[in-house]
This record gives sequence, C-alpha cells and structure tokens, in this order.
Amino acid sequence: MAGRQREISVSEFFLKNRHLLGFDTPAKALVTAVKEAVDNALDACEEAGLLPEITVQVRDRFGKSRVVVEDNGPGIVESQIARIFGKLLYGSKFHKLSQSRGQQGMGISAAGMYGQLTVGKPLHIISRIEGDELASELYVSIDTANNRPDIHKKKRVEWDRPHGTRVEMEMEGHHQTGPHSVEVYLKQTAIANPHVSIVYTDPQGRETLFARSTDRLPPRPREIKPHPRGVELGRLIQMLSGTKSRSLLGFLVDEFSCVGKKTALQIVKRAGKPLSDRSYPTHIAHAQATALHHAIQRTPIQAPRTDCIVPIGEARLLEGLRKELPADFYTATSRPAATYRGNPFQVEVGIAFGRPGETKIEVDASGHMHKKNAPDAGAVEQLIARKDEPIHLLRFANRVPLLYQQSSCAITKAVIQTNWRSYGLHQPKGALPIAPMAILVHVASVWVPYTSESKEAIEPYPEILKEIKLGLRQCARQLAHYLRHELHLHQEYDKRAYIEKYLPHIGVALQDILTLTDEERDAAVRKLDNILHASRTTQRQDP
Amino acid sequence: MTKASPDTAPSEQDKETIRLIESIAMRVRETIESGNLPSIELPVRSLDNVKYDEAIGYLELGEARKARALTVNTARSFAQTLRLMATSRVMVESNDFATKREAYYISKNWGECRFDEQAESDAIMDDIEAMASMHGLSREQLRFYPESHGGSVAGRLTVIDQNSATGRPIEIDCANLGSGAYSIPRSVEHLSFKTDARFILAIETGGMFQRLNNHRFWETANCIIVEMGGVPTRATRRFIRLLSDKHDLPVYCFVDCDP
Repeated sequence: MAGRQREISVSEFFLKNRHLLGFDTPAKALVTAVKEAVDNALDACEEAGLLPEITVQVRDRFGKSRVVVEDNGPGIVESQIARIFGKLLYGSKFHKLSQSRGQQGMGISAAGMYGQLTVGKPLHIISRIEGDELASELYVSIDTANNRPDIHKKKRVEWDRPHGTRVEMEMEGHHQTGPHSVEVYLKQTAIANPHVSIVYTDPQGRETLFARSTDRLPPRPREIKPHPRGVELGRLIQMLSGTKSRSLLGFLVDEFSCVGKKTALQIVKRAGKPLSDRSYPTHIAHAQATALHHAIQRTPIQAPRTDCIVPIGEARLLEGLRKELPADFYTATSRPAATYRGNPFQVEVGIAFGRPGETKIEVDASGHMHKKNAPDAGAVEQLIARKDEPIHLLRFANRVPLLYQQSSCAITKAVIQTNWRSYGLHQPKGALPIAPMAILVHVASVWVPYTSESKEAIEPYPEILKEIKLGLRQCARQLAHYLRHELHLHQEYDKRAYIEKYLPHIGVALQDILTLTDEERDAAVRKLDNILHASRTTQRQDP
Repeated sequence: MTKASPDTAPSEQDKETIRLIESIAMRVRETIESGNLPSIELPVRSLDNVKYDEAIGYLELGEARKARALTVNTARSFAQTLRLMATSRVMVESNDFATKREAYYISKNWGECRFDEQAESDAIMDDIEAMASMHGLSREQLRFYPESHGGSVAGRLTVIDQNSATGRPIEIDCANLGSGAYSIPRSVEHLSFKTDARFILAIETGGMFQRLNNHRFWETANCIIVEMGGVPTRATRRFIRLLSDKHDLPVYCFVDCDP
C-alpha cells in the first residue's frame, strides 16, 4: 500500500476535476475557453496601455469547436509563451495584489488542457512583440504528469499584425444561444468595458461588432502590498521566512501597506517579549508569530488604501449600458471603496429599466400626450427581462462577466435580500424581483473572493453583501422616482382620455343651442382640446 | 314625445327660456375662444344653501354656487348639462315637452354622454332647473314635465283652459263632474279660474277625498276639495298656490296625524 503513494501533479488533479475550472459540459467549456482567452487579451492590452481590439471566432463542427482569439496586445516573449500556455498555475498576477481580470494563472492553460484531452490537439499560438521582424508560432500542449509545457513545433513566421497575440484552440464544445452563450458573454464584456472593441464571428459566419464608446483607457490599477488585518497566521509565517528585511520593524513597514514606523512599533510592543523591533524575521518561532498575529489584530491600523481599485465609473457604466441595452431608463452608482479581510474592494451598480416595444407615453411641446409603441428589437439577444419575468442579473467581477452559478453568488443574494417592493416592483418572497429590468453589479477588488477556481460566483462576505445592497438601494431610489413619474404619466393619460371622450358632446350641444355650422363646431372642439392639454400639468421632473 | 302644433307663436316666457340657455352656451363658447377652460356655474342644491324668505313666504336658494368644468370628476356632467340644455331649447322651439323619464331615454342617443340611470338625469335636470329658477323660470318652462299626473279637484270652481289646437278657451265646471273629479294638468301656469268658494281643502288620502266628494261636501261647506294622493306633485302644489293667490282663498289641509 505504502508503495502506491505518489505525488499528484496539479495538472493531473485539474484534468480529473475539470469542472472546478468551468469545463464540465461542452457548451460551458466553449464559453469558458473564449472567456479565458479574452480576459488574458484584455489584461495584456491594458497593462501595455493599448486600446484593446479583439477578434473572436468560433467554429463549430460535429461537436468539435475551434476558437480563435486575436488581440493587438504587446505580444509575449518567445521564451515565455510555452510556460504561459502550457503550465497550470503559471502567471504574473497571482503574487501581486492588483486589480486584474486574471488571478490564478491557470485559465488559458486549462483551456488548452481541455482541448488536448477531448480532441487531442495542442494550442496554436502566434505572438509578436512590437519591433520584431517576425512573429513566433508555437504549438504547445501540457505534459500533465509533470505540469510542464510540451512544445510540438516552433518557428518564426510572417504575420500581418505589428504586435499582438493569436490563440487558436480546438476542443469538444457545443455552441448555443441564450443567456450562457459566447455572444452574451462578449456583449456583457462590452458593457463593462466601453473602451474595448470586439468583433465576433459566430459559427454561422455572422459578424457582430461590439464597438467601443470611449477612447480613454481606464487608469492602470496600482499594485499594493497586503494589509496586515487580512493576513492569516500561516501566511504571516510564510512571509516572515521569505522576507529580505533584516529586522521585524523593517519587515512590518516594507511588506505591508498602511504600516508606518509608529504602527510597527506598537505592534511589536503589543506582541511582547521576546520580540523586539530588531528581531530577525526569519528566526521568529511559531509561538512568537502567533503573538505577533494577535498583536496585529488588536492594534489600530489605518484602513487599507483604496486608490488601488479602478472602478468603471458611473458615467462609463451608463455609456456601456446605453450602448448595449436599449431601455427607457438608466441609472448607475459607484460606491466608495470598502474592505473585506483587509482587501479593498469597490461595488458599482447599474439599472436599465423598460424594454423597447412596451407602450410609453410622451408629452409633446404643446402639452398633448401620445402613447408610443416602439417596434420590438426582435431577434437580438435581450439582456433585459420581460415584463412578467424575474429581472436579469449582469454580474461582473473586475470587469469580467460572470455567467454561471448565479444562485450562489453574493450579488444574487444581495439583490434577493433587497426589498424591491418598497421601490414599486413586484418581488416574490426569497426571489428576484419581477420587472422588465436588468441589474448590473460590478465588484472590483485586488483579490475577488470567488467561490471556485472557475471564477463563476463571488463569495458572499458580509462586507461585500452590505456594499452591494447599499449600491442597489441607491439605484433603486432613482428607479422608484422614475416609476412614480411614469405611473403619474399613465394616470394623467387615462384621465385626459376620459375627458376627451366628452369634448365632441360639448361641441354638439353648443351647435344645437347656438346653431353653429359644422366647421364652427369642430373648430371649437379642437380649440377646447388644445386648452385642455395646455391647462393640465404633467409635472415632468427629471429623475 | 308627442308633437304639438307648431303654429302657436312662442310666448314671452319661451323667449326668456331660449335667451337664458343661449346666454350660457355663448359664455362657454366665448371662454373657449379666449383660450380658457370653460365652466358652468350652478346653484348648490343642498339644505345649507336654502333660506326662508318671510316676505314671500317660501324657501329660496342661497348664494352658493358650484362650478362644473372639464376635470375628471365633472367632464361628464358638464357635457350632459350642456346637452340637456340643448334638448330643452329644441323642445321650447318646437313647443314640445319631455317627461323626466323621456329625457332619460333621449340621452340614450348621446353615445358616451348617455345617462346610465334616471337618477343621474334627474340630478342634472334639477341642476338646470335650479339655475333657471334663479332667473324666474320653472322646470315646466324648460319643457321637462313630471311623469306622475297631478291630483284631482272638485267643488265650486270653474277652470278655464285652452284648446291647444285652436286657442279657444274651454270652461270646466268642477261642480258638475258627477262622482269623478277634474284632473290637474302637468302645467298649470296658463289656467285661470272662476270661483265663489270660501276656502280650499287639500286632502291627503284618496279615500277621504272620494267620500267627501260623494257626499258633495263642497256644496254644503262652499269650498273646493283637492286630492293630493300622498305627497302632492309639483303641479298640484302649484295649482293650489295659484288658486289661493289669485282668489285670496285660505288653504286647509286634511292630513294623517303622522308628521
């Protein structure tokens, strides 16, 4: 028995547990693969300060899908290509605390591994760094037993892009439409990233352009050091042994954010003997580390800095919503940044209410009211719910749409726990409200607490729930204001329609009494109609 | 509605009625032409707005007025008021009339404006009547007649009526109707009387009226007996007042003792 014990490679583990990474069904695998490639492309472009231009192509043949994602990013150094695409848990974003889409360094290699498993084809990568004469072309697969890249072919080729990366993968996939489709994923990406331009070619060869609505890149998020409050004991011990600092004081000041000399001395003093500010970090024993951890928890420390978070911003959020979701009413709000477990995060909420195609009342300059029936948008994938459906939720974490596991997500919980009835919507007990509406919630953080490796839902930490709810309420107040106004308009319209019914009779009576001609009668009725509409106020307030 | 002869020239009162209706319609039209919302002012018909004038000896409407304009609550009755006034005008012109019930039926041609219940049309009619009464016009002059007929009269009285076709006077001797009695018409303003009676006895119940009539009580008591039949109709009340005023006769009432 003892002889059969052996090491498990991380690749093997995830090969057997691919559902953890979002590759459980062929349909989901396709969306996840596109998502991982697009996320990487966007991160790369933004980090290099380039306006992302992304093309996505999906082909679907006999249950086998081919995904091609191309970006105009900075490209990848040839020596790194193989490791980035052929090794799980290899990346630039895991060890730094900075807001980015990718986090763990396993998405795209997992997609490659899934392709390799189901179809047996390696990833095909072309990448070119600006200034290079030729692009590098590689075919990479994963040596799952050792979690190591396996390079099949490598050569330098001509490529029409001056810089950028192209990833092509083939896998068992199923292209579908509906709320969990590639198209919806890209559309939502376009909402949260108004600076991104995406061209999508679906398996039928139809091209969809998600145009950018702004040419300004969001500011680069800053990298921060961990906040002492969010550090667990094990991590503290690990940090102590790994530091280059030569004194405990230096360690505390250098390795953490929000800790100055004064705070560091307070922590050391509270931790008590035998620790002193000059203790050598790597020599601190377990018991002393525990004391230090306790001291950190009890010492008042400045709240984490929040300027490392880059929200989408209310204006951009509204732009994104207007661009992709035709609706009657929009509102958005950015909450101030807050923290959970020492990690700063920021919540943004947007609401798009009303579907085109439902009756709407307009008031013209002369005070007349008209009922307007806009034509339905038709076959376009609707992100806004129908009148009698639960609202649609658009969840985002660090600008990445979350399509799966809606029910276990903090965002869903916050929406359900909000009392929408007091804002004029129907809401069954313990469920999403019912309205022609889409709610967008974006959680940005240097470390988004996902419920699983596949990054499909956000863990409902109380701090996060609270912030989302506050944001929702802020938007809901605006919505309620708008709804009240709409209701007033409808009621006013009905009242006027009722009065209007009797205008011709007044005309007839006047004609009978004063022996008017038909023209005189009609003129009087028209005039009366104008007077009626001009005299009644509509109380139009701008919500 | 029965068609009456159109050759009778409109009386002064009829001209007055037409003038009143036209003046109200004119005001509505002028308000519209001047770009304002029209409204009609009508006297408030509640008990609060009634006062007793001792000099004349009866109750009068006070000063309070209600406006009927184009609001959600009053648009319908505004239109109905105007249409009912139009109907009245047409009837005055053609020397026609309509009972309250008939007016309700006429409104069934008005589409959206029609009355759903007779109570509605009665209320609107009362409003118009109240307004007309401020100008000394009665409902009968607006050509809206009550449905129920008047009471009966017997005794030492000669009623002088008109042949509506020829205009020749007709004399009706109320002492000469045997066991029957003279039935008061719905409109009494055109009647005149000849009498030597000493008083008028108004009797509440039909039975007592018949008994006294059979006994020819009016002959021995030298009076006129009037049957009210419960609560007397407008015509009966006006008939009694007209008779009492013109011939300075006292009126006694014979009623049940259940005030």
